[in-house]
Amino acid sequence: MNQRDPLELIGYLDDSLIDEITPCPTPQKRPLRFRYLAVAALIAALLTALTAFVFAFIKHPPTATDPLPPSESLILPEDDLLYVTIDINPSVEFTVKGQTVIAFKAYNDDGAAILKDEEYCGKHLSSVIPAFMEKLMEEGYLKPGDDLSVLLISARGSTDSAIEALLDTVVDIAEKTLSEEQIQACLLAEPILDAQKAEEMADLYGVSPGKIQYLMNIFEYDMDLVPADAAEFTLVELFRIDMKRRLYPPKYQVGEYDEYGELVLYVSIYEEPNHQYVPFEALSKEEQAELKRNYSQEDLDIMFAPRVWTTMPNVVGLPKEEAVDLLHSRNIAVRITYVHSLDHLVSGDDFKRGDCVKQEFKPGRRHNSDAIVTIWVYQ
Amino acid sequence: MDDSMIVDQYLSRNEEAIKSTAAKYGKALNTLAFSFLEDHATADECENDTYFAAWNAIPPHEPRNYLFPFLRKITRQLCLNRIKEGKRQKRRAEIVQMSEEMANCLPSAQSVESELDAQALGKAISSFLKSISKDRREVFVRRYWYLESIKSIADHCGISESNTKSILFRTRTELKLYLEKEGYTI
Repeated sequence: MNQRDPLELIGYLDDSLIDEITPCPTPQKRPLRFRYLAVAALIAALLTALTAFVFAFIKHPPTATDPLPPSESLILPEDDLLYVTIDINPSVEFTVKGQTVIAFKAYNDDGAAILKDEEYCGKHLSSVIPAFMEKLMEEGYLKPGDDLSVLLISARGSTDSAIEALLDTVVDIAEKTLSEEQIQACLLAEPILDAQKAEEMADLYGVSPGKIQYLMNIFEYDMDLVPADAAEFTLVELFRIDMKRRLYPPKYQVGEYDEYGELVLYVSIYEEPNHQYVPFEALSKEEQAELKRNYSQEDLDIMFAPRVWTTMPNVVGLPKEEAVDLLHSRNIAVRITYVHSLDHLVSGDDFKRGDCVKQEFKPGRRHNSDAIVTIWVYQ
Repeated sequence: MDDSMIVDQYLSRNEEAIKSTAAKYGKALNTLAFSFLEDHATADECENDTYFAAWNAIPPHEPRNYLFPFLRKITRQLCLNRIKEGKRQKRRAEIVQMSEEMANCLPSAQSVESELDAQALGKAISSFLKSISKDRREVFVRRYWYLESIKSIADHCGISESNTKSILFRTRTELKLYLEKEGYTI
C-alpha cells in the first residue's frame, strides 16, 4: 500500500496557483547588509528619543572642522582592563588599557574577515575606532545614503564608572565618524554589568557578549525569545523585536502556543492611564504600517473591533468560586492556576486554601470584556 | 523550440529531447530544486533525475501544453524524496514539521491512495485556495508547495514571522473545515 505524504498531496495543486508565485532567488554567500524601509527608519528615529540606553541619532551633514573628542577629558582608568564589543554583524572586541588597545579578537567569521591583516594593538582608541569603522564601510556593512544600519557598542570592565566612561568615549568617536561619513545609523550602547554571565552565555551560543546582553535586555520584555536566538537572529532582527516591543507594549495579545505547540488565538486588550486604546484610524501612518506588518488583517479586525469595556474587579482574597462567578458576571473568561505555596507569590499569610491569591490583570484596570484573565488559587 | 516539439522528441524516443528540455527549462528546474534542497550538488542531481523521469513518463503522458508544470511537479517530488532520504537533518526536520502541519488538515493517507483520489483532493484544495485572498494564498503556497521557511516567507511577503504563523494557522484551520464540508474525513 502506497501511503502518500501530505506534502506530496499538495503537489497536486492547480498549476495556476503555483505560477502565481516566484520562488525565492537562490541565496548567495555574501556579507549581510541591513536595509531598512523609510518607515522603519522613521520608527527607529522615534525610538531613539524614547530609549534610555539607546543613543540613536540621524546624522547631520559633515563638518570638516569637527575634531575627535579630546582624549584628555576622558576618565578611563589607567590600569584596569576594559572590553568594548562592536556588533553590526561582524562581531569584534577590543581590549583596552587606559585609552590604548592592547588586544582585539573576532567573535564570528565576518568579524575575523574584517580584522584580517589589521593591526590595532598599541594604538589609541580615537584612531582605532574610526579605522575599524572605515573598514566596515569598505566592506559594505555601513554605507552612506538612506540605509539605516544598527551598530551595537557594549562595554564591560571592573567598575560601573569605568564601563560608563568607556562607553561614552567609544560612542563619541563612533558618532563623529558616522557624522563625517554621512551615514545614517542607529547606534545602540549598553553596559554589561554582569560580565561573567554574559561571557559564559556568549561562549555557549557562539556570539559576542554584547549581542547576548542585548538579547537579555529584550528578553525582560519579550518572553518568546530564548538565549539561542542570539545566534539565530541578526542584530537588525533583534532590533526590530526591540523596536516593536517599545512601540507596542503588550496591550495587544493575539495568540500563544499551548502545551502541544499549537497556536491558540485570542485577543486581550486593556487600557492603561498612559496608554489609551485608540481606533486604528487614529494611529499614525507609520504605526498603522507597523501593525499591518506584524498582524494579519483578521487580527487587526479583532484588535480594533468596537469593544465593550469593563473594569476589572478585585478578586484577591475571595474563594475561587466567588472569584470566578464575579469575573464571569462581567463576561471575563477566567484561567485558573493552582499554587501549593505562597512563597515568592504574595506576602502575608492571610489566605486560606481555596482562596484566590493573585490576579492578572490588576483590579481597576479597564479591560475588554471578552478577555481572558488569570487567577492564582492557593490549594 | 516549443514545448510540443520537445514532447514529440520524447514520444519518438529521440535523446535530443533531454538536451532540448535542459536548454529551455534546466535553469528554472535547477533553481527550483535548490530552493527545496538548499544544496547545489543535490539540486544538480535532481535536475538530471527529472529528465530521466520525464523520459520514462512521456509516453504515456503527453504534456504538450503543460510541459514545465509537468517537469516542475516531477522535480518537486524527487526533491521531497531526496530530503527524506538525505543526511541534512535540519532540512529534513523542517520538512517533517511542514508535513505534520498539513497532516492535521488533510484526509488521512489511507483515504487518498489512488492517483485519482489525489487529483480530486488537489482540486478541492485548489478551490479553497482560490476562495481566499491572494496574500494568504501566497503564504500558504510558499510554505507547503515551495517548502519555504517561515522566515523566508515573512521576509518575502514583508510581514512578521508571527503574522506568517498566524496566517498559516488560520488557513489550515479553514482548509480543514472546507474539506470536511466537501465530505472528506480528516
